[in-house]
Amino acid sequence: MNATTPVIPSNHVDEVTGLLYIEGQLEPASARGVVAHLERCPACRRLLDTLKRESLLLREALTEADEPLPARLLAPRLAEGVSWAWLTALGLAAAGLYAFWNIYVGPWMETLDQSGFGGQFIFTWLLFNGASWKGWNDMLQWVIVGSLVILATVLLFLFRRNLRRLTSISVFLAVALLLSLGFAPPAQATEFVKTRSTYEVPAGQTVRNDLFIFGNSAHIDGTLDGDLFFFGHSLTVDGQVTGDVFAFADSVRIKGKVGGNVRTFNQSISIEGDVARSVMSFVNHFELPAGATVGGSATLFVEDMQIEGRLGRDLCAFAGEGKLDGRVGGEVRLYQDRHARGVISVGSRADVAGDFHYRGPTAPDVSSNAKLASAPHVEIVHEVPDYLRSYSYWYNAMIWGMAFVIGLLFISVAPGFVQQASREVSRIGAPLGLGLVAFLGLPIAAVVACVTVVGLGVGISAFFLWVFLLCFAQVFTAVWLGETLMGTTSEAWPMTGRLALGLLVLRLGALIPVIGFWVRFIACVLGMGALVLLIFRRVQRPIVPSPMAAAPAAPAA
Amino acid sequence: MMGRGKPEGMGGEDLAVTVARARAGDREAWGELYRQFAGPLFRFCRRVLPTREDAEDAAMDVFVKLRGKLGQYDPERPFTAWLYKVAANHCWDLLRRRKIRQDLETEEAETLPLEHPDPGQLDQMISEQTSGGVRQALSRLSDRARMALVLRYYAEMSYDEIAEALGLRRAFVGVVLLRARHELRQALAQGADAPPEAAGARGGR
Repeated sequence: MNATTPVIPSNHVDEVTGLLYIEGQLEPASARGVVAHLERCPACRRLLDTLKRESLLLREALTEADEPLPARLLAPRLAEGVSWAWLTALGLAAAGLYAFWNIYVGPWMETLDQSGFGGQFIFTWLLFNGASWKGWNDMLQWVIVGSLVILATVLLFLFRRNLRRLTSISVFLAVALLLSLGFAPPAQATEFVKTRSTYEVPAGQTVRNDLFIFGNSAHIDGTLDGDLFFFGHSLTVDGQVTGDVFAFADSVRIKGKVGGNVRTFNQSISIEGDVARSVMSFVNHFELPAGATVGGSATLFVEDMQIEGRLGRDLCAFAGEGKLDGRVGGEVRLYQDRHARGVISVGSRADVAGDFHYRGPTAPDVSSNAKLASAPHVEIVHEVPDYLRSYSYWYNAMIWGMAFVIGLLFISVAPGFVQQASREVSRIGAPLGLGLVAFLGLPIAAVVACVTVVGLGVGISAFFLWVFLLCFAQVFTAVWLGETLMGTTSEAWPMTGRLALGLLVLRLGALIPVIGFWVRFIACVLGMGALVLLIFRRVQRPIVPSPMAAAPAAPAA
Repeated sequence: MMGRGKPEGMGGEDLAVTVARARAGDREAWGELYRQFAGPLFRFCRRVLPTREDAEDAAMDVFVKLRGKLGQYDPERPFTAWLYKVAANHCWDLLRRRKIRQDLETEEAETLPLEHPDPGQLDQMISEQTSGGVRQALSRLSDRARMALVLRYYAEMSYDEIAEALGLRRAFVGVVLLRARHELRQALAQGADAPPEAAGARGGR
């Protein structure tokens, strides 16, 4: 832009005045002055004529229909068209779901019931499926890849406008994820066994592959050269398993040898033989009798534990009660539940090579003959209401910070989306209802997707989405709360301030005894509901009810 | 002629009735409005935003906004003016958010003097220009200059409306418009010297 000294002849009409004059923006008095001057000044008349011609040229250039209307605008999404397409899709999905339910879920549920597992174990099974991912064969893996592609495509489509600036990143991440799945190491040979009675690997027999057993009970008396996944009532390993053992069972007994790790979710486990590596158990009763050994460490979430055998490395236990009366090669960390009534005792035969830590409501009963490498570190924790404990404030500050960062991310990536979500929250009733549906329905849908095998990828993604929403859907509620207190805004920074304030109010509310839980719950459900509403609107609401190509306007009535 | 920011094939009275029906929730009426304004609105966005994709997205978004805000529209005011006001705010926000605005601040617009044109030269330059050439040159202007010209000569906004849309004082609107014209003249002069592909680098998509 030129910034040179003006060369406006002092006795002529300057260009701004000229422009304002031809555009009819001058005060009447000034306009009369200009008219008077123009009558006797051909140069200024010429300038104003030129400016007028310039205006004309600009109007022509700007309004000329130089390019056709894009197809997207010519034929935007149609309400009528969409509805039948969606109905068809929903019908197909329902038919597929019904078929899968009959083919897969029904029989398995039956097996489950016979194995003594009610519906509450379905979640452990979900985790189980995740844990055994590597075992699925190639075909299944590609099915998963396919379902992930579909899920990613649907999400990208739904949020394409909000994610515009992040589209390339999302596509890159999606491709990277898919490639990593697609080129995952080839699955080993795997055998699936479904039985209503007992599955047995007799003594002297060797099975050389991974084994999935769904059944009432299983006895491994021979050798299994691979991993064992058991899902049923009781599992006994008298022989040898060279790989890992994953068990979801009522009772597990390992009298033989396990070359890998043992991971169980069950009622009781007794390791009477040798486990070469580590043990992790979510279990009611854990037993490691004298003579038994675990080469690695043991991580236990347990109600009652009896450890008399040998642990090669550390013991970490969240236990209700129990006794440690064996050898531990590493350190011991015991955490007793604040509400636990029982006592954890350390017997005279206990021999701990590392430090001994205890944290809980009642001091452990340590025998004077027990061999501990150092004096035990005992921390007694009394049950104190949350609001009286300083750590709970740190914890709340941390949660606030995490939620704030996630909210900030949302606002910086898609401020419009956050704003719309906040508007949806303000409707209260609808988001609350839909949020409850999502809160209950999403995990169920995830489980159904997992159970139908084909949807494993989708199911696990949905489950993680649910967990994510559980933690962060409150962000939208917080923005709404902030906007309610400070007024609405569409700008990013003021919105961030409202987010911070809203989150603060929610966290403070969460500290109140009893009510706190409901504050968190409602904030979460409202946020979830707002998201569902928003997605629903995006799918449902067409921009125009009928196509551009439709008949010309009917006379307005 | 298509465009001029006016609805395609609808009289003022018809328009008022259709708007009233759309406000009452008549989907057909809204469809009618969409058909009438899709073209003008898309061209508005196309003139203001850098790429065709941006313009498509913006036009769709503006329609969604318009539909959502239809209840807030004051029927006493011209519908077209309201429509372009919403569109202008949306596009201006978009440009501002992308931080690609390189135009001068208001104070500078006020203080920087403008070179007085030679009417003869200017006259000749205008005579030599085609609409396409002007559009190409427009695409090389600063965002605010382009926006101001489009608001005035495409959307036919008043000075008050332009001031509101661009966040200016009304007194500056004339200066901003004149400055935009100067930028345009400069771009046109450069465009005449520059090779055609370079000249169409941004606007030709």
